[in-house]
Formats: sequence, structure tokens, C-alpha cells
Amino acid sequence: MYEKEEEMLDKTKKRLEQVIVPEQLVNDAIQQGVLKRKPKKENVKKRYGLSRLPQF
Amino acid sequence: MEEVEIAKRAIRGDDQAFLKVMQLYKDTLYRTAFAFFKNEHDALEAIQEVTFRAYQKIHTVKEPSYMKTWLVRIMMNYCQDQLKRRKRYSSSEILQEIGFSEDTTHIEMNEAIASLSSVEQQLIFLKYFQNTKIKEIAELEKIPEGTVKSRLHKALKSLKDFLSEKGDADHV
Repeated sequence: MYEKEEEMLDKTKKRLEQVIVPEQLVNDAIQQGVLKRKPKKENVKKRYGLSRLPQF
Repeated sequence: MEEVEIAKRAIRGDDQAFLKVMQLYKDTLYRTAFAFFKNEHDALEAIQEVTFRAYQKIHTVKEPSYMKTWLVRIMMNYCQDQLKRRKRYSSSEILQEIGFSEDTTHIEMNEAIASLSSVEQQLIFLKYFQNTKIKEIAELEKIPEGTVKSRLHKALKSLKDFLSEKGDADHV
């Protein structure tokens, strides 16, 4: 029923398989991905309103 | 060591096994990203981000033998999200730069694939580019096999309609 489309998909797949993978760059990206950490939340100093400022 | 055994160890939290998993499937993941972004820079960035996401979530994988497909799905989701965010998703751009010959079949087909919904694109990619079995897709998507088949049928029909419409338009 969809022979033509499936044949075209197969050709497209074969074309994609010809893409050259830059080995070293991909390995570096994997390493960086593993080392990547979500930034920790910084401790934000509490701010006080004027009414809470120490009175002298 | 067998792929499934490496996957099992990675799921249990073995970092070395996780790196081996990424080594095993890096070519597939890179080419998947390249299919969407059509440039090396974005594909490498995708590899980095998907490695990070997979590293965070690998303990949630239930079926070690589906590891490759699990990773490819993370990659496809990432690529589709990025392209939507950038709003530069031009159907005719996908894969065009891969061309090495005058055969334009892949360009037409990529235009047709880009016209599909995100879900249909992923189905076509898994079934025809990764040779993923219907059963595996069904289990990962948590839907019946019959639903996968009917969605694939619908996606193929959409491709056929798009290509025939385009064919008609090109000959006007």
C-alpha cells in the first residue's frame, strides 16, 4: 500500500547512515554531559524591610 | 560484555557502564541529532545535553534491552523542543545538507516527515530509521501494539498525501 513511501524512507535512512560522526568531538560532548551539573542555588542573604532594621 | 548486561549495570548506577552505553549508541544519537539540526555544532550540543539527561534518569529505565530506543527518544524530544523554541523549523531544511548526489528523494521525504506531528515523526523515525519493533515502541509508549500500527498507517498516509500533493504542485 505504501511501498513507494517505504522505499523513500529506506533511501533517506541510508543517506543518514552516511553522515560522518566526529568521534573525538562526540566523546568530548559525552564527557561534558556527564560532568554537567545543575547549578546549586546560591544562598541569598535575607533582606529586611525598613521596619525590621535595627532601631538605634 | 553483552549490551543488555552493560545497560543493567548502568541502570544500577555504574558510571563506567553508563559511559559504555553512550559509546555503544553515540553514532546513532549523533546521526539522529544531525537529522534534525543538520549541523555539527547543534548535534554535539544535543549529545552533551542528552548525555546529561540520560545520566540523571537512567535509574528509571525498566527494560535494559530497550536502552538504545530510550536514548533515541530522549534525543528526538530534545531536538523537537529545541527546534520549536527557536522557531526556525523549516521543513525543507532538514537533512538537505547531507546530500552527496543529485538524488532528491531524501529532500522530498524530509519535507514530508517535517509536515507530520511530533508523535508521528518519532514513530516514523523509530520504525524506519532505527528498525525498532512495533512491540518495543508500544511498550515504551505504553500503548497497545494495534494503536502503534494504526498511528504508523496514518503517518504513512500523511506522507503519501503530502508527496502526491507536492508532486501535483510541482507540475503546475
